[in-house]
Amino acid sequence: MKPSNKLVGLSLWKYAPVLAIILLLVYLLPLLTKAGSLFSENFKISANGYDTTFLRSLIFAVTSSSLCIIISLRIAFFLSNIEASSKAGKSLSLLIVPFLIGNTSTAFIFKIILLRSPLMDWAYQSPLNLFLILLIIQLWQFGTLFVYLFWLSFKSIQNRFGQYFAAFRLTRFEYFKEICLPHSRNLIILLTFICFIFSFYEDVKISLIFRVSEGLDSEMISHWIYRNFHSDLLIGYKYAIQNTNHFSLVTMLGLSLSFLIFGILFAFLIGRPQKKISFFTKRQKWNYQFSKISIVYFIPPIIVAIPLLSAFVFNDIHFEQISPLFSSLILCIVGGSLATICAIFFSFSARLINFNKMGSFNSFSYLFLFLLFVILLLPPIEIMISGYQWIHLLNLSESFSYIFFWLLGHIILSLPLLGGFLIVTHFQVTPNELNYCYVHNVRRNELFRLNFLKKFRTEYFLAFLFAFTLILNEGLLNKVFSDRIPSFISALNESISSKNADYSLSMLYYFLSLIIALLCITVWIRSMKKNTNEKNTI
Amino acid sequence: MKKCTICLIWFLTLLLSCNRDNSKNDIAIIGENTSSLASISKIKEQYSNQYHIKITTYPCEFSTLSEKSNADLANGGSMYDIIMQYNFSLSSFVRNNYVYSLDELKKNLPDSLFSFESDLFAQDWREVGYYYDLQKHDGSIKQIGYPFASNSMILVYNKEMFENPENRTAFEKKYGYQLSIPVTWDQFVHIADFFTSKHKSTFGLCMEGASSGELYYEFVNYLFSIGDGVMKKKSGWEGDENTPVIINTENNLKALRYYLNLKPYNKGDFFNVDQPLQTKLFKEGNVAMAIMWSDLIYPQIYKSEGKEDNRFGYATIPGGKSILGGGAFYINRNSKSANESFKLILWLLNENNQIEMAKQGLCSPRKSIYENPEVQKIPYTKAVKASLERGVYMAEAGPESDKINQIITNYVQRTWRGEIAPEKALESMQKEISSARVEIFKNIK
Repeated sequence: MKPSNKLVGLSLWKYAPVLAIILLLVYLLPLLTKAGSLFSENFKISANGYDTTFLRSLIFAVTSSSLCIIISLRIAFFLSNIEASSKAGKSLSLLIVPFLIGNTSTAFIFKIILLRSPLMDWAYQSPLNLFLILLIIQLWQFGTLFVYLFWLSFKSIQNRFGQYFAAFRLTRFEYFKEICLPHSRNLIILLTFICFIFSFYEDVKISLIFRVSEGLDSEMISHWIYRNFHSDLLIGYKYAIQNTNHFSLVTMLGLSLSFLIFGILFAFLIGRPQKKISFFTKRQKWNYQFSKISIVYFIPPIIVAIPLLSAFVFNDIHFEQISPLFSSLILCIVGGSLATICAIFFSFSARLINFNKMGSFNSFSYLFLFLLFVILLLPPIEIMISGYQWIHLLNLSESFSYIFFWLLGHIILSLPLLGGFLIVTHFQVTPNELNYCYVHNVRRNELFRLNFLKKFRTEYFLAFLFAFTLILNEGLLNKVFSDRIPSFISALNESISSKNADYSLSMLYYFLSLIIALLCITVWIRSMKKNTNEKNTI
Repeated sequence: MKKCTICLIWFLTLLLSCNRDNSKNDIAIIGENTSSLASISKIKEQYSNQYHIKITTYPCEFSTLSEKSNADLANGGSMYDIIMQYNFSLSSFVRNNYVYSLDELKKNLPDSLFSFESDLFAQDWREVGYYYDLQKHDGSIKQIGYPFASNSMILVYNKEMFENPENRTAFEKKYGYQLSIPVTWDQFVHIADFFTSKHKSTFGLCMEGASSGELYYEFVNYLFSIGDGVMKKKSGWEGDENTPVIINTENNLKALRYYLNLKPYNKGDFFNVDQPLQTKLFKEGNVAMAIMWSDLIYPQIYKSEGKEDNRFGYATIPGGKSILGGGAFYINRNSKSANESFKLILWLLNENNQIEMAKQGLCSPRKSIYENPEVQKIPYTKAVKASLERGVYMAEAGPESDKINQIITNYVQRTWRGEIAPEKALESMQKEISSARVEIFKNIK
């Protein structure tokens, strides 16, 4: 008896992905109901510069995601000799900081640094220069995270592969190509997509640092839609929404198509059948032993630390100006926990939909992830407008209802990233394991506890850290709900760009975000250490 | 299925519990996070204690203010009772019947309550608080709201650089007249040139070139003072599809060239210089002059970081004209506290409160406030008053205002970059503004 491709359990959990899509559609309902008037004849839409801006965003997204992946893979492989428990290994955790501090803090740091450097002048000499600098910032923010994740992935390769390659005197390149690359294939695809979408909709950094504009030929699609939305508001709110919906829909379709083409191309490049290795003809060595710690290994963390610390050189902090944002932090922890729990159960049920098809990247899982990523494909402004629409449709005012919808919104918004990350993580659970449990009538709870929770505890904790900082640094829902829920990121944004801007206050918020990121890392290192000890004990 | 039903019931109960119970004793005010709203926040407790009405202020960043207020008004919401918004929203607010007019609010109230109206800067009030009476179709206008502030752009200068005896001697030697606050645009460029050192250790100017309106609002000072402006009309909100666009003229070309000639004297990277950055660069102390919005002076220059900074002086900008700005209190038509909100506005506009608020950074819409000895001690008072008295329309405020703002910003930035010639820029502005206006007015109809 071989009961493959069958579902475990009968609960509603198997419908969780469908429910998530329905939730998204419900969330967008106020906008979708107005879709009928999108193309009415007497409604003329001005689209000055849309095509160029779309193309510019697309080129930047392709370049940025490709470079981030290639460079971070290379660096991660270079660092793969570092032992996780060594000082250098621990210092590598710093590489997550740029991602953890969020977009606005990153924009603030680089704004401060570039203001004092001739690079800003150089950036304005040509749009290409400006995008090159932005690319470096993307590399700093996302590339460093990717380096760390790839490094973790390479570290999880069992030692026997290294010994095997060393015994056959294979080259480092061969080890990378034959072992590391296939091992990290899922992660590479996932991170490429994430970076692609974030780069395509990049707005915060480019707006806050460079004050992009049409006149500088530096505008990207999010800014273009946002700018036109504000112009159209003066004509009428409904007109502005119709116009925004129209361009959002066009952008989403265009992006979906580009996303698919890019995805197929990338998956093809990553997933090409590997050539057979002639083990006996190669004479160069692969040394699987950890090499002595070299100062070179500390370069990546130093590269991360320099901009983080430079901001303190250029600006003062006024600690007395701190306003009570502790409630915001507590809510972020609650939100992060809930979002992680939802993402865990979502990805767990997704894994059970089909033992084989949801166990690796294939057309089925691609389609599933694509549907999940629809939330990310939405132009950010649509999420913001829908939020406003819901507040008014439900006539919310009480803090309790605000908190409820704020939490719900964050759970939905963070689901693609967390859910996607965990779905790909769950690929490691083999169909055989699941079939075995199925044959032996293992209860679902037991299956989750033994085959998922114990195995992926560290990954779940990492997902929580991501969820917490994503919620803390998210700019849209926090802005929509900022009247009732004090928002860390709205306060930071106001301190940078409002008429009452105060960089010393921005420094304070940045300092807090840095402290939070460092605390997260400390907890992360302890969790890793504990996990390693437990594994060693077993 | 049972679990699903329980979840659904729980969710519906939660939604029902979210229904708003808006008390008449609550007034919510939304406005931009500037000294105008900050000054209200500082005195609102007095009103709350006196009348037992809870006042909540929601300070927002400029774009967030538009998003939140429009979303509330357009959806028939009543989250915000008073919206402190700028005049470019007038057209949308009135056409869509989002807000009360003053006639409606004044009903059944004694005239004596409105005696302060004669004390308001008339032209500025017209600019920020009046609009067409759309029921009459004869071009007549009506009052929509009282101004919460009357703002203008003024010249801020570095006193130390202007008063330095060595500078004064050297300037007189070079230009043949005494160094003083510039009154003409020729003097302005001379001073900018004089203070710009070869090694760029000191600068004549710090100009705003960022694209979110900063460049536009500064540039129109040159365009209307040296040139002919954008359209021939009395107020920013006036005009229809037939109003001629006059931007492509010889005088405007002169104005644009003059503006571009200031490039060598400018501190900063221009394109990223917004209001916070301009004040930051200016306060470094090596810039002679800058043109700034008056509501920015108190929080960013005079009392930045809570300390009095007396290094700077204030005057009207060169030429004979200044920009009129500010905004008005608009009362949400769906507000459950409309009358209470109106009473609060009247209270805010009384003389004593205006004096108190002026001391907290408000550029009062009432003329008499500027005569108060306490207010006169604030160094920028005279400059603001003089600017408001000679103020004219410069900033567009009709439904097409943001498009015009964007088109002008786009082409001025391109000329600054040297990508296109000034003649070509004005030609393109003329063409694009004209076609954008046709499209917008067609959609409004």
